[in-house]
Amino acid sequence: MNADPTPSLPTRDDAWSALFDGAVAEAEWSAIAAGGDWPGDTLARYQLIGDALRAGASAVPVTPPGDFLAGLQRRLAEEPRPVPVAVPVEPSVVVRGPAANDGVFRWKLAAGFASLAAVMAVAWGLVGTAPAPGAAPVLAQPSPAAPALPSAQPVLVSTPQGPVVRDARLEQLLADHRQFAGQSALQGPTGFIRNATYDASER
Amino acid sequence: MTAGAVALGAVAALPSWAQTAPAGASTPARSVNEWLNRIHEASRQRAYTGTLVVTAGTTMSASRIWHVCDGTEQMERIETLTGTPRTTFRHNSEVITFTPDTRTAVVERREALGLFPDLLRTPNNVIPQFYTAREVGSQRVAGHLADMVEFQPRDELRFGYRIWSERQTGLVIKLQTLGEQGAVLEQVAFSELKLEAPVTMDKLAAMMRDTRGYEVVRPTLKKTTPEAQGWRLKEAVPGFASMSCHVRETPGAAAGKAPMQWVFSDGLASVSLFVEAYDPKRHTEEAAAATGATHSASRRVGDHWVTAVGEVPRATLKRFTAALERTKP
Repeated sequence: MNADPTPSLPTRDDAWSALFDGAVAEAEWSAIAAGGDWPGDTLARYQLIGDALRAGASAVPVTPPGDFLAGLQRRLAEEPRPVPVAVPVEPSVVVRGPAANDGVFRWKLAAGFASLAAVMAVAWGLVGTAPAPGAAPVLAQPSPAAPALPSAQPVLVSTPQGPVVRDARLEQLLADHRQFAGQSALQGPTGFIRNATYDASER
Repeated sequence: MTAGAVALGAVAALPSWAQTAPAGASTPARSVNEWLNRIHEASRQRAYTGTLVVTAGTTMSASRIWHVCDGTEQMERIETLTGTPRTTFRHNSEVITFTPDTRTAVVERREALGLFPDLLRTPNNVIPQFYTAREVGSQRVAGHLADMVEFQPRDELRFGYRIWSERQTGLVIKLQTLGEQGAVLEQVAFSELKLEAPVTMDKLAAMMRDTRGYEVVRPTLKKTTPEAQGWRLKEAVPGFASMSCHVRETPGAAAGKAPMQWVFSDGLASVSLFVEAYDPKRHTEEAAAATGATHSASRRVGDHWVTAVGEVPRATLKRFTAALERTKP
């Protein structure tokens, strides 16, 4: 733990950790921010820890998926390609040296991540915006980062009633309309939370 | 009869445990405006947390809601539980929506959210001309006793609403949009609600400010007027007033050709007219679609294509598209 120049505050790392847990009041935050150099690495670490604890197994990495994939492909290209070896089924337990096992296991993990990342990249390219693979085959998700009206491609969506064709452009207009549908007395208090809840891809 | 229709019928009809309040009982019947004021004040003065479920047609969406107020300040956090993960924060009129899958945070200003409590008190408030309030009993929802009131439309150009307003606070805990013969087109309801929950504004504010790891996007919406864009309605649709108009600047779109959104409201329902340049490859038919209570209708108007979207009957949308007229060449 770092030495604390200000006895009345908790240690700096504790304070940053508390900030990421949303447990720091305005006054304390100002004191921390004003108190010296920006602990960039610590912040990134605390954010990652916080994301992992809150999201569990589905924690999203800090690096954008495209960068992650590019970095992984670079590292894989630099490694010697593993030769596929048919592993005979051993009826008895054979104790091997830890170094050899570690290498194989690490490769299996890397290959697993590479295929997952490749699947995600392909799905990303198809979709254009967000959803994860393995979700229902919804391809039209209105993206707030792309305000241009998408072309009127019919899109096949799974519904409990069977596949239904939806219009991607119409979905975008519906999303734009909901953004301004708060302009009514009833929709004001309830409509806003209704629109923030409603998900078009759930059809 | 399908199971879905039976369920809707059960929801739409008054169940046996609803108690009808006798006329002239402890409180006299409230008017539409009085109910709307009560609903708004409840939202402005109460803190709560809960789970909200939205049922629209065949879609069901749910989210966790945190709502706090502090005098004039309001904060909300809405975290979706279904579909695409998304967390929306609101601080008065400022809204920021985090989408973890794309690591984008969209920042917007929703001025309309501050409009209505004041608008209810102005002479322009036409809501009572087009809706009446009818108290229809009380019912428990999410563990809270609620008064049931129906806002019934006076004409066929709009839908009705059935509102469950929590007895003590007035907070809306369930809301149904009703179509023909009282059919439930859409429902928004708390499945779980905790009033006066200990949520602090500071904690929500800190979460709202934390955009690290996200690309912050501010969509460029340019406020404008329909006149400036060269449009008018040659015949007004009764009850619906023009609320706002803007163009969505998009990269690559020719100057002056950006799609326009013109928003109308009758106080309870809203309609958006989207106008863009006609493109024969994309605009191949005069489409009509519906999802829950939201309908749409499209039409070609000269060199333009208009799509009307709103929580109103399709016939009303067709009146809008038929009335839209170009004033500039």
